[in-house]
Amino acid sequence: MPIGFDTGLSALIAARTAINTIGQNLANASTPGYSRERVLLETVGGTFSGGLRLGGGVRVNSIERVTDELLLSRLRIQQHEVARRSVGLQNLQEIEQIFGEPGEGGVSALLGNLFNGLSGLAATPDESALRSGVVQAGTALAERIRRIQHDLTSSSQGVDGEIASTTDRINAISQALADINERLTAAQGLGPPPTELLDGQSRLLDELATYVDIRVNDLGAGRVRVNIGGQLLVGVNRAIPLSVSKNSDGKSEVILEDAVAPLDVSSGQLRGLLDLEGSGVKERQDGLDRLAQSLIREFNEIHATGVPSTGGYQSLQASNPLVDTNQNGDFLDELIINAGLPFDVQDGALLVNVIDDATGAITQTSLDIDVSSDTVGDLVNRLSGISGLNASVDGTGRLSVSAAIGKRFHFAPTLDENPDDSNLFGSASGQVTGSATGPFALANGDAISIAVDGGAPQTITFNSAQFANISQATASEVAQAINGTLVGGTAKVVDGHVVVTSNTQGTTSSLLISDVSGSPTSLLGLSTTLDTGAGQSVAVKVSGTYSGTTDEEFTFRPLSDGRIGVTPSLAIEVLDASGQVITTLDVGQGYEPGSPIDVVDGVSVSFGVGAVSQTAGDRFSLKALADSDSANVLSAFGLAAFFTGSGASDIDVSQSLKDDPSLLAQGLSSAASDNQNISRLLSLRDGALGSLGNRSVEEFYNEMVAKLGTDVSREELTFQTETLLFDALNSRLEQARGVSIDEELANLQRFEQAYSAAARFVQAINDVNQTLLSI
Amino acid sequence: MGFRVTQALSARAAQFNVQRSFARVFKSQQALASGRRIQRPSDDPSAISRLLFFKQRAKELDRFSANTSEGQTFVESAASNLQALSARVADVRERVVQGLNGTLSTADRRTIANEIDGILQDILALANSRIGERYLFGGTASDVQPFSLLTDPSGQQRVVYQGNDDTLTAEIGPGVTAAFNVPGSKVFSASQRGATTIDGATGVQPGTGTDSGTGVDRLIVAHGQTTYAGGGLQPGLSAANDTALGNLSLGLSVDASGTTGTITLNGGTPVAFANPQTDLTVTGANGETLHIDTTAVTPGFIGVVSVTSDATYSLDGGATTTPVDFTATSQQVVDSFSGAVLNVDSTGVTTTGVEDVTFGAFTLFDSLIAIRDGLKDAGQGGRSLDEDIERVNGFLAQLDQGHDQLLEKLGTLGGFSSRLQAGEQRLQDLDIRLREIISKTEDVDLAEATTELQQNETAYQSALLITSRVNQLSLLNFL
Repeated sequence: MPIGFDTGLSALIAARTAINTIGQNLANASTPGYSRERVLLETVGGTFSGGLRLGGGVRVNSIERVTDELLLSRLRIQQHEVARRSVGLQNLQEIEQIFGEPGEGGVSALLGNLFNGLSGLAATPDESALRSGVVQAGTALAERIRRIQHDLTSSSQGVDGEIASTTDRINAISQALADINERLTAAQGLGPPPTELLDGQSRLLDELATYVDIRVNDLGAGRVRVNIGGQLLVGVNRAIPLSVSKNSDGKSEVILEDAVAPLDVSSGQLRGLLDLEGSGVKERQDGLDRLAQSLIREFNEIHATGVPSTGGYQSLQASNPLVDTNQNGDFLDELIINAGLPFDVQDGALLVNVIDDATGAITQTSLDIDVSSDTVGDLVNRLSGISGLNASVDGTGRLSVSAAIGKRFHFAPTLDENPDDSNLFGSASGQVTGSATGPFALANGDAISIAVDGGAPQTITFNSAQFANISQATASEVAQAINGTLVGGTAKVVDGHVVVTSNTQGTTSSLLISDVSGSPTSLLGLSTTLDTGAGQSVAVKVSGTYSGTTDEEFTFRPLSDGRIGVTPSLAIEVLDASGQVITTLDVGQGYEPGSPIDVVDGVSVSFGVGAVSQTAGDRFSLKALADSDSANVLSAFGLAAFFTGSGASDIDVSQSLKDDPSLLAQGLSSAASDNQNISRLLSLRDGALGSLGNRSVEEFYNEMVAKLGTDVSREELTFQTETLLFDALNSRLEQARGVSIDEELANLQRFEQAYSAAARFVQAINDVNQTLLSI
Repeated sequence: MGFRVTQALSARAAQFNVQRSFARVFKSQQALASGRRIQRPSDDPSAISRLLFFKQRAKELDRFSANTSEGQTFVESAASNLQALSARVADVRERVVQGLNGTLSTADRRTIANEIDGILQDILALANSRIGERYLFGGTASDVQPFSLLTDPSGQQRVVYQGNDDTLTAEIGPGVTAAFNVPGSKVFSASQRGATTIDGATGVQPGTGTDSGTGVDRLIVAHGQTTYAGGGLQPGLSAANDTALGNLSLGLSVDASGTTGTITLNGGTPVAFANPQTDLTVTGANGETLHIDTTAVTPGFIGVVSVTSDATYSLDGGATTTPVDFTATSQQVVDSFSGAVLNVDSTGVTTTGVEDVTFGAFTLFDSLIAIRDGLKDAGQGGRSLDEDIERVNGFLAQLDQGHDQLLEKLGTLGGFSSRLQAGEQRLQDLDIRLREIISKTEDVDLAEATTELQQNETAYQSALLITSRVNQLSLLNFL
């Protein structure tokens, strides 16, 4: 072979290889993840000829993949962040959509509609259309809250689905990466690793990086090891599958096969999804639940202690079913606090008013509730014990209360119209009232005698057996002891004082008490002078509505002896529970008997004709309640409820109100235009509620929406920043590895020219050889 | 390595820029088209809470405004009713002045009384008028007819109030509640109480102590039992018709055989009797009588016999009675029908009878009824015509007081009305201010948004232009 021919050939081959590489680059100019290739040429060592060293041509050393591994790994990390933020943002935006604020259909507007409806009804409480309007506004609000909660729940279920599909995808990728590792192992020793395998690997690693934060190690020959959170995902020849499970808090956890602890995923789309379960949706669901619970509870506590426009209920069924906690098939033996009611019952009292339809008379009964010992059965028995009422619990655990025919009932803080129902004030009967209140230091065997209506004195002896502790005897024990023996007279306890009266009335009625043994009369403060009954007792009538904010018990007692409306400067003083004089009522000459006098806080009282006596200890007491259900029994059971349910997922307006809006408890009396209870409900509009962290319902909700808006906008901003950063890194990588068509075309020109030149060279060598041969 | 710009890079950059520009154009467009700057909470998280708050306040204002006009309508109807009522009361006055002319005949006065009765019915209808289903003057008992004309057991007509004293209220502003009704009991309340007068034919006088009745009433002083302490006298056959009451002393003088004698009552003309006499009527100085059975007189009795003649009071036509305590200067008699209390001085009671009681206080209805009945019966009862006319004149003074009260309540309603009007004005001012704030928070500033849109459009167009230019550039074009 002539010298130079090989050199030309090597140049031709090199140029062709270079042109092929350019072709490959141009073909993949827009293939994602493609790294451009470059031909590396080197000279071939020459031969010595005649002392001269001649070059041997050119040779393709290798085809290089141009990329920047450092940038690539930074890009992957950035990709985790972008992916995580993108999931978070999408979800928050979805939540934002679900709330639909600010809009006419949003909770804020519907809450406003409910309160505005109430305000309108307060102005015209007898307008039945407005009453239905309130019920409808309540229903719309409840529906909206339920809808949001439902959509939030589906959204969180969607998140669960996405977590599952993401782990599936991660498993598929890690399996594919393990396969590539195996093929790379097989290709070992057959020259450089095939670029298509490396590019495929790179693409898969990029995708995997969007899901989880991975750490990639080079194992040689192009193979990689992939770790997540310090645990192996892909090894030389195998991939370890991931699985998802729920932990005890109901949150999803990702765990590698055979691993002891769940995987610590710190970024990537999977982290974003796991975060959503924790904060995004959950935070809103919890907030909405809290809002709904407060609404239900606060509305019901007020609504249940009002009077419907029908003047009272004929029957009521509780909306909250009881739970048979000890599963013995009986609801009645459960403690009320353990009976599965959604709201708490506390120590306190429930006032029950039973109204006689025919006479309009109201009978009041106060039921004391002691949560440590009272069972459902105790409450049922006490309710049934009220004349004209019947209570029971049905098979589904719902408490029912119904009134006898001709009766109605309600739980409003009504004042007892007739507080002196035993006619002790201005007594028509002979009566002696003790001036002292208990406990009394009686001794066993102390005795008094009582002569009723001028009859023979009857001796009453106090025995230790009649008292829990005779030296600490209570007024009611003393009264019980007297009633055990006394004929023709009765002992009662009024305001802590023992009062003994004759059972007859009129001027022939009389009472005389004296000591027989010891000095019980002075201990009890009982007068030993004869008391004779008056012609008639003084009719006491209470009217009005108590507007005070704390429960009170007022005691009324005359300051002197005299006749109502006749005796000059006859006055009755009113004391509060602590014995403080609140006011003094002038009922002497100048007072028109029977006309109401304002006492305090909306309470009025009137006195009929007759004589009252300070010396006989005339007195009566009147309970004025600010809260007629201090035990919260009604809201716990859901009796006479406005809202039913226990949270955002089941809040609704009571079905009986929907069926009959006239059951809306708008007043505190049966007057058709009484709006006092609506006014109390309206106070919830601006009232700070303890259950909402001393915010009003509206404030609480608005804050929730504002927080959502802030979260979305912050997430948007973060997402934008992270994306920009990702783009910048991506551009830089593209700069390094991307295909520039201009550059390739220029190179193409270059290698075309090199090829032509080499061809000419071969031609030239050929010509030289021809010339030589033709010689 | 130098800065390499690849085709993919420039394409990506172009795509990014075009997208971003278009997103801006889209946002500007959306804002302009809806007129709202805040479509979602995240559009302006710092403003959303305020926005929701102000929107609710704005809706509340609408409600307050509706409440105010509801109240205003009520107040105006009530006021126009009271005006009509006042005009009718003025008519009564005119008629009464005519009726008191002494020259009118009984028939003429009856005609006028009938006219007044018609006016009374009109006034009652006006006081019972409704707006919608709501009685204007019933307090919060708005579904119960507030006033009814009833006749009590003593035959006296009365207007009874069945409403209550409570006020209707409406929310007319943030935390402001206004009353807008005057309960009927206040419109037609009793006048300032003066002294009660009793004609006194039976000797009953007003006692000490405060009465609670209004208008006119009838007090029946009825005889119970007569008891004779000595002289062998016994109640006669018609003792039930005895009219002499109290602790009496009879001068009795009987002959020795017990067949004849004389009886003198309260210094009256001595009455002679001759037995057997089972129903001897003895009349006292003032015309009071006792019916005595003298068959068992003690022969030869000459002296004074103590007699006790029980009596009872009744203010309600006999439905309930109160025993007369002849020593009491103040006894309380209660009308079980109206609850009215009358204090009487019983010390001067000498005979049975029916007393016209005129309480010291009248409601407008009491005055009307008293005037009507007074005119109708003028000169027909125990009093002279002049006395009766004088009495009706007294009622007329009470009517004027009632009328003044009515006008005063009309003033109260006027006060409510102007308060509501002022409230309405304040609401409107608030509303304008609130809408301004909402608009500033929520609405797009048109000028700004339009400029912004134009800017964004220009940016978008340039992005497109540059992209198309750059994409055309390639070495290929020049080879």
